[in-house]
Amino acid sequence: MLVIRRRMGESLVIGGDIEVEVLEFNGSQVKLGIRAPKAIPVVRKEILVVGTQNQAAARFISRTSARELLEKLKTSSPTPISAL
Amino acid sequence: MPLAETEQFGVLEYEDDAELLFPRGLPGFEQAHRFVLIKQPDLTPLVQLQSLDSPSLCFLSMPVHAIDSDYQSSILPEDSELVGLGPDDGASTVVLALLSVTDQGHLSANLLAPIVINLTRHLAVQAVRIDTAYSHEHLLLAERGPSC
Repeated sequence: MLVIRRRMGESLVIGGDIEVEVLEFNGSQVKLGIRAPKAIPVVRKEILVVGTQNQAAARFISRTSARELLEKLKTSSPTPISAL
Repeated sequence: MPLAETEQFGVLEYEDDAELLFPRGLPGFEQAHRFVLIKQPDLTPLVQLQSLDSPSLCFLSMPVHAIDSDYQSSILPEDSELVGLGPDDGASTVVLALLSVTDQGHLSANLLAPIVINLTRHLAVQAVRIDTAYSHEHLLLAERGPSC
């Protein structure tokens, strides 16, 4: 991993047309400004993780019977699932 | 009443006001904007989230508080604005966790990114948390769920 030190207001450039600027920081958070061509998606990494997770969730339902699953949950959950 | 073609439920007839709008879609399914919640009394607390745009797209979910009664919600301002939720506007909300199976075959719930629904305004968002308090693979059952 490339590591670069930057101060507030300084920036770095990736691939010639993506600019990342350090706008603000406090103890635990950094605020970044990103200038990139419209075609380049910029997302928080968690969103990518969730996207993959959602794909798995969508595949899962197609081959699982909700009824059987509920029975399993009721009988084998160590902490009972409460009905709302 | 409007009708929608679905893989799970055949032709689904639903009330106009049952339709939920996800203005941003869901991560991984950015084009899926319209869903309905399907609750069957004998399947409580499971809730199915059926897409009205894509017949084969259906998620299995459960209220987060049925999984963890102490679940502490945390939603980014941009997400609460998107679904019209203010701090005290008294809107009726539902918070669901999507279920899936991990690579190891365990049934898990995504508590990192719950589906937050404003029932009053029929708007919803998958609100990805920025903290690490909860996992995207919260273990529910340590074995493979049955397949059909």
